[in-house]
Amino acid sequence: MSDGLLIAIIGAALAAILSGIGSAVGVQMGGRAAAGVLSEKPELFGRLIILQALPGTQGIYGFLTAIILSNRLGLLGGIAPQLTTSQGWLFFGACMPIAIVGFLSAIYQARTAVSAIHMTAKQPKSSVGGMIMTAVVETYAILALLAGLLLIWNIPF
Amino acid sequence: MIVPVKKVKLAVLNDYQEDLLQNLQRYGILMLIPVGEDSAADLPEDALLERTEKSLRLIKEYQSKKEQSEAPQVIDYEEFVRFDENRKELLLKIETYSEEINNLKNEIKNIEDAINFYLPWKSLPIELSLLGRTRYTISRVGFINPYRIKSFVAVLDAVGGDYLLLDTSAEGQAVAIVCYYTDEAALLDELKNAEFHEVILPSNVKTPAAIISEKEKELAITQEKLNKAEMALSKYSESIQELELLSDQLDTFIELKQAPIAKMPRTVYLEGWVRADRVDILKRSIQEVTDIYDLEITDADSEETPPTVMENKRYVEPFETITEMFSVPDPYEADPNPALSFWFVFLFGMMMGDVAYGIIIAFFSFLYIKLKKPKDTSLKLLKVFLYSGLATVLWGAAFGSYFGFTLKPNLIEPINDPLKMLIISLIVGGLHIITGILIKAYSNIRNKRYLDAVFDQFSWIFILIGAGMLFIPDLNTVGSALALTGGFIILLTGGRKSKGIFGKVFGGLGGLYNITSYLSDILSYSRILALCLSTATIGWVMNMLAGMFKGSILGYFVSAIIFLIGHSFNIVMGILSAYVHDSRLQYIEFFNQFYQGGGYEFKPLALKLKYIDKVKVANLQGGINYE
Repeated sequence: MSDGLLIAIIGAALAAILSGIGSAVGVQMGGRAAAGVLSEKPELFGRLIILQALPGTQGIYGFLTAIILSNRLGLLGGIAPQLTTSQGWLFFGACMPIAIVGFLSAIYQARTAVSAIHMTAKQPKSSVGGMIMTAVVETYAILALLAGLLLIWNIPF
Repeated sequence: MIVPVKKVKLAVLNDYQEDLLQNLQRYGILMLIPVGEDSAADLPEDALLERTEKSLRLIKEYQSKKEQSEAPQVIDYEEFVRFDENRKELLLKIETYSEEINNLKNEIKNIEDAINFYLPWKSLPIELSLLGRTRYTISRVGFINPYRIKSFVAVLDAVGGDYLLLDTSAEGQAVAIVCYYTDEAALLDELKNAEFHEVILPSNVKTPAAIISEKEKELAITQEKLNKAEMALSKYSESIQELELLSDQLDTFIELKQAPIAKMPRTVYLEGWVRADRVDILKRSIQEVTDIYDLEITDADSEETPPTVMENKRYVEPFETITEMFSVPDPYEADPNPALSFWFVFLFGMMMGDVAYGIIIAFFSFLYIKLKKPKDTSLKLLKVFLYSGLATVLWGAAFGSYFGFTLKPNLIEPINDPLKMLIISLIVGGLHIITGILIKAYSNIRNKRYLDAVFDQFSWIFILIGAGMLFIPDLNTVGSALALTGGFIILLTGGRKSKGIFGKVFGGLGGLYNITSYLSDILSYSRILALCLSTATIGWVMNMLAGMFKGSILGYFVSAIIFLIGHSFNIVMGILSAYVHDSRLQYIEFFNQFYQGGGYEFKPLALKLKYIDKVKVANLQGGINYE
């Protein structure tokens, strides 16, 4: 097995790991805030569960990047491809946008989600506004995902 | 489209106040404006309504599943306004039973507590009155720590005394001890180590076992009574509709009583809003009550904002909820709903993009509407999902995607050709934004501001279309000419509203600077590609995981479960993302081009129907049948 492949796989793993951690932390923050509100207003469950789930998408994006990279390398077919070290670094680099941006944006998005949950507790009708504000933060995770994916598809190998 | 409204000022003689308001409420055509003092006095009906609601909640617990799915409740208006004393009696009966049930439940709880109290001592073979002091001995009962039984036995053997180990309970091991008075002090001292704490049982001529069996008999009798009472109450679940009707009647009545009107010595005066196309019905509904009235109908003056009435075709109507969640439109602007209804399902379908998923979404929305019969907002939202599901089927067919499997024939495969899909997403975004600009241009033209439409809207449309053409080799020249024309228009006219020469020059440059915001708006549509890929890829991964287990019977079983759970997860997450990001594209990118909002809803004085599905209001002398 080549060093290049090792480096590329570390990159794919980091994309899934970091954005996964970010989402787990984010969903946890949202869940705690929502549970607090639910103790007083159980009827808001439907609205709050959506707000809680919003920071969960970054984890999916990291997972997506890891899968698409494995597919591009042909790993899912069970064949270990030959990569030079520099090619390995190229793929590693392509994984970094979603790894880093996914990790941080999930947590920042969760902070917005927590505020939106508190807002919903006071004014249930404003939950959609809160959802949109929270989704605005996610834009940058989406851009990072797209940047990473376009790199992965177009790195020559 | 947005229906214009007229302002109404109406005065009638005092005698007709009740009838007039009732008639207005019946047809639901007038939204009252509060005039004079607020009369938010407490009515006796408030308490009655609360009681009705409480009984309804209670009786619904005793309702069997079979009774729940009933035909829609439709009644005549005459029946709806008739207060039937039987309904109040029904309410009273239900309340009597529910009180009885509550009392019996409390009683049962008390008996059970008593049984639990005696339970640890059940095997004590003597009458309770024999516990305590005799001439030479004293006997006690109590609990010790179950882990200290050995030291307890040792202490009794050493000091002298007899004991009985009874049952264990949450409080510890129940014991009974007997000893001579002479040993008592020493024994109690030592027993502290075994964590002994004494329990005083009430004196009784029976043994604990006898007391318990007596209490159990009592429990059985009370339980029987409770069952009977519950049976009796559950019979009333047939008359649940009566209670629901009562609740709606009371609610309607309270609404009527609290109508904000001004009472003069001889007349009542009220102000309100009426739809311009229903002025005739308003007149007729007044004439039905009295011929002596003073009615003035005018346009809203510039200081007031009239309410917004939206009336749309059957397909567009559900999308009003999406707009209302952002803001109710201003009454004077163009209604965004027709355009929104197209673009919302279009973008949603693109983001989900799978034939099977689309069928599932549409099917379940349809099923829910048919079975649960939701009302108002939930009904509209479900219809939005129903249409979005159908759009998902169309886009899924274009992508050739079925449960994440890509099949031929298809127009484009986003997974295999992401760059092409990205370009399509951005083009769709550009068209979406141009639609928004066109709506703004339309409302400028409608308000006879033709120059504004050319300078501010068409110039940008030229630039956006021209810039798009630059990427197509054949249309290169036309595109650049178009974009430059648009750019020049903005450069020359962008500062036309500023004062002073500097404002006019730099206004044009500043206007041109807006290109950055259009650019970022259009790039924002790249999320369509991201979401579309994420649904497709996760579906594909689930198929791969499920495919790993094929081979044996057990393997097929496992892969079927993975397939089911995996795709359910993907659909739920996909709907969440598509709904949120689709709304975001509508609210931030699309509405930003033209939408003002800030209006308020038209809420006429009308029948309040929470449970009743429809009240048949007789046709008003050939007028519109309005419920």
